[in-house]
Amino acid sequence: MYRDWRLAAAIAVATLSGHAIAEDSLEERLALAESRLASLEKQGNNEDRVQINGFLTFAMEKTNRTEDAAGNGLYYQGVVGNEDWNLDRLTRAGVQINSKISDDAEAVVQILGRANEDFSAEVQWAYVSYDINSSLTARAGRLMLPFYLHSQYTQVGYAYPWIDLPGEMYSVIPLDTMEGMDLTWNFNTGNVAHSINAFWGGMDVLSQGSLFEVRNQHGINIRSNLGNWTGWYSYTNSEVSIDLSDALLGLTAFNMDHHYAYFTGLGLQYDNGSLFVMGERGRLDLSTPANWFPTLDSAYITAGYRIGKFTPHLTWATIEHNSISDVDLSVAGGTGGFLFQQFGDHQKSWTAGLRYDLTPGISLKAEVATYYDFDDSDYKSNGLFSDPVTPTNLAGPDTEDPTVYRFAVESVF
Amino acid sequence: MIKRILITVLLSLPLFATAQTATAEELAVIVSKNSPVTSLTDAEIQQLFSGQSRSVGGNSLQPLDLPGGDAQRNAFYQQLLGRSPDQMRSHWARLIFTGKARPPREVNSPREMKTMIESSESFIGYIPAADVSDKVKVLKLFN
Repeated sequence: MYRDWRLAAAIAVATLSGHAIAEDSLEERLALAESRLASLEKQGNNEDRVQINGFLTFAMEKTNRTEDAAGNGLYYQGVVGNEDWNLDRLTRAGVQINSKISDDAEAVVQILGRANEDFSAEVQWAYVSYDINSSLTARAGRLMLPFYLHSQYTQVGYAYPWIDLPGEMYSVIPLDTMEGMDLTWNFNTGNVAHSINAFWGGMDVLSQGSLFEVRNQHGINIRSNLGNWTGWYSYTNSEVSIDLSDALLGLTAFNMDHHYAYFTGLGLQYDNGSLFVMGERGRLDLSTPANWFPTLDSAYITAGYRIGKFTPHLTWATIEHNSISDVDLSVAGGTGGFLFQQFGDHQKSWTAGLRYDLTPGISLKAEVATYYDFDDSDYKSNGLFSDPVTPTNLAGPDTEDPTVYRFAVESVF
Repeated sequence: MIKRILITVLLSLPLFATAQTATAEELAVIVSKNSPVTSLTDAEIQQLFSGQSRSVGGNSLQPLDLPGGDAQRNAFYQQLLGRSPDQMRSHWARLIFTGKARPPREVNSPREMKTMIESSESFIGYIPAADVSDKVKVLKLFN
């Protein structure tokens, strides 16, 4: 009897709790559904509010045996030699966070880590943008230098066909950001979409061991798109100061104090989805005492054709300087000529490359670049090669065909 | 001779292209029935879906996309811009990392795209022509 009572009680409890469980689970399920909905809604909002995008490049490079006549090893961009694969000059990763502050305002931060700086993260850009109206946007902060057709995404290898952007053009100014503000106006004329951008800012450029302080840098650029065609024009001028007296053992004759400088670039691109052709020209000129800084003229032309997932492409590029006879050698024993040679690059190159799109977001690339025409009637130049042991050695490559081989994996995510 | 082969190859390229797309479903570019937009040129549709413009004639239009890898989405961009999924990814990489534009908002299914467009005038999207309802306006048909 006692046992029966116990059994009945157990059954009653079980039944009761069974009801409780059923009710709980219905409530729970409702709550769960509600929270899911809420989180979905939140996700939707977040997706709109905060966007995170990233890119990554792993690239390796090697030269053939490149030496000057005396047998000194010459390295492409000072670091790529023939003995070991250079894995860190172009290897880099970045993350960009776009966050909406309001319907009209947005903050953008891009963090970049380069392998040759141990991936120590640096803020590549950070700016606040504000849409004044649907066609006018103002930005302030650290911005990309808008000098070239591909300026805005130089670090995102996935966005262009090469592993290394044509060095003759893209390494003339060894920096790609500035501090400043800009205004962009987007408008259409018929079927042509235009984007005009005006900017003002400043930057510090370390080149050949000397610090160029670039101030009051202002310029304008326009990008126009018509179907498969894109046109680009940029003009920038600035005031440059540099103190060379330490480097030149007390010599002050070549210092610059707010000297005028300009850069201008012109680009054209055609891309019908299969065939693409693009070219750019650029000129950098600084007004310097005794004309010690060379006028640098750069250009390249690229053609490629997409065959399914493969994109073979070919590029010819050149960089030239004005004649050294423009330098006033009567100043300070002709030291201006020495400076001129440090900054005066002269070379041409052919680059053949192949891109393979593994899947949207990942591509594999290979390219071979061969360099020539380092000579000038007046003096030899190393072009974009240099002797890391003796940086002032400008004997010029004596190798038949200085060549650089590159392989890369590029990704955006 | 080489020239002739080249010309033959070049002339036959579009054949491959059409052969590929003929098997795809017909797609309709749609906006809400209540949208003030009544017609769009091909160039305007291209600009909206490639991030070059955000409005047409003063009416803001936000493009919607099917999920990445979706066959209809791939067919849509192949027809609208002649670009493969890889090329669209490169295209958006250029704009995203320029801070210039964001890719279209992604929905989960053609059904969701249709529902969103039916319920708001601010969206533009593409669905199979067979699924068009009387709550949307068809601005362009791709087949």
